Amino acid sequence: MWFSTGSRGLTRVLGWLAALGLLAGLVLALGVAPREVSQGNVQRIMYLHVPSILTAYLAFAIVLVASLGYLVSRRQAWDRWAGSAAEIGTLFTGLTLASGSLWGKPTWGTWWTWDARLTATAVMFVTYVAYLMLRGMIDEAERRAQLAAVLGILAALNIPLVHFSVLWWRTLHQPPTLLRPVPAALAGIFRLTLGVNWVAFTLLFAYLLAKRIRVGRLSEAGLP
Amino acid sequence: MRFVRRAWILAWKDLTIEWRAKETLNSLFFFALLLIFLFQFALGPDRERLSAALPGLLWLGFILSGLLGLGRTFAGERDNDCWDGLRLAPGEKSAIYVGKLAGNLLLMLAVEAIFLLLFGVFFDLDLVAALPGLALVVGLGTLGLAAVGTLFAAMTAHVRARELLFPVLLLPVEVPVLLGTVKATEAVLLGEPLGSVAHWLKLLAVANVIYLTIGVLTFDVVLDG
Amino acid sequence: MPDHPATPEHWGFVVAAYGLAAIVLGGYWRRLVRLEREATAKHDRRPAPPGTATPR
Repeated sequence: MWFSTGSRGLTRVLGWLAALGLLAGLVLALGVAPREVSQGNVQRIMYLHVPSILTAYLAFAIVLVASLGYLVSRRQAWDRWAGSAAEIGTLFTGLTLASGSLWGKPTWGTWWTWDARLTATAVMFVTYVAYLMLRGMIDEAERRAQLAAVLGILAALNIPLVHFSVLWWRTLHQPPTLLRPVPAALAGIFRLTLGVNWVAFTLLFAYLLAKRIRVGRLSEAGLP
Repeated sequence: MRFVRRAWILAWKDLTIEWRAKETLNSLFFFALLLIFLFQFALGPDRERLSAALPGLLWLGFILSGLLGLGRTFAGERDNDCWDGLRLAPGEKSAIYVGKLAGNLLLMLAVEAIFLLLFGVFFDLDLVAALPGLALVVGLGTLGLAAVGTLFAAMTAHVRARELLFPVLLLPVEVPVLLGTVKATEAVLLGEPLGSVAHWLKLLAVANVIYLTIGVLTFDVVLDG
Repeated sequence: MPDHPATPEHWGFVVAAYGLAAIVLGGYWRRLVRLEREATAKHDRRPAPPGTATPR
């Protein structure tokens, strides 16, 4: 079976790799990467903010796949993946919002603005908080897995709808545009710093996920 | 077409019950009236500020009354110990979803019609000109609300704190519908051609397809497991 | 690097962001470690099925 006692070793390795990656990422982000010209040092928050949201997307993709997996196979392990990924994904989404806010205050002069990306992220955040609330209010493991799976699929499929509706809502009378990814024109060192931090966050996510699933498996009541 | 027949019987049962008691309908009509007062008091006598907010207020009204109405979708079955009857009914469970959805749609459209009427009266709007466009937008939006609402009503029917959990689950999911309908309603009320909001209408249509598909495919899981 | 940059430094915000991330992620990690320890202890303490008990 997945995550048996044997793979505690794998979890430990993940943990150490994550720690190393985070350290490297931190050094790059705060030290090595040069001060960005237009925004100043506040731009360094992006090395935390962007990997955070990317990790959250990964987490919610896992929730989608695991929810589908559960509905198809009805094996509890899928539900543990879904619940764990949702919990950690929500955590990273919250972190994205907070770091975005801390970036926005010095840059735009306000703690919050209803710009497209922040708003869409905020909606995604409350959607998955609601998902976690549903999970929290059902005691019986099988029933919880069933209902959470349905919600997990709906929530994930709703994300692109939220994204486009918020984007068009903000860009009032302009014709609708596709999502612009992270700005392409990034100089080498910026891209490297971002990349290293992204990898580090992904490793951290994998490590936390492994631990969370293990906790879920071991505790008799299953995942809260 | 036994599927359609089952859905139809269920919808007919619910509508008949409702028609005889008129509890839900009357309460929601009255609630709509109260909401209009609320909006007026909350936004003050400034006509221009109110005018600018009207499309949003309209849909806030639809959503708030929708939350009340949709939340009660399975109240009858739950309170009268008929839930198991629903679970054990022969045939595809998704017929129950469609039947309940149809009932909810009719209920919501009735309340929304009254709400629109009251809106026109209290805020001095000429709705006749905008009617065809409004009908389309309201139809698409209401379907979007009801499709997810009916599913979530079944989902939360036996969950702790369901009256609180239901709106908490529904509102985040409905954000695209809310945005789309408000923007499209704004355009329609301003007399703009529907073509200018074609992308919103397409979004609403796509959303409805997704919600209905998930509802139909997963209802038996939600109802029973 | 210029001595007096045109835009203010705002290091406080940067530190706040990274500090918050450290506290939140670190706190969550510690919670997981604690839960794992408790769950493992409970798991090990559970009585073995009859016929498989071994002297410890």
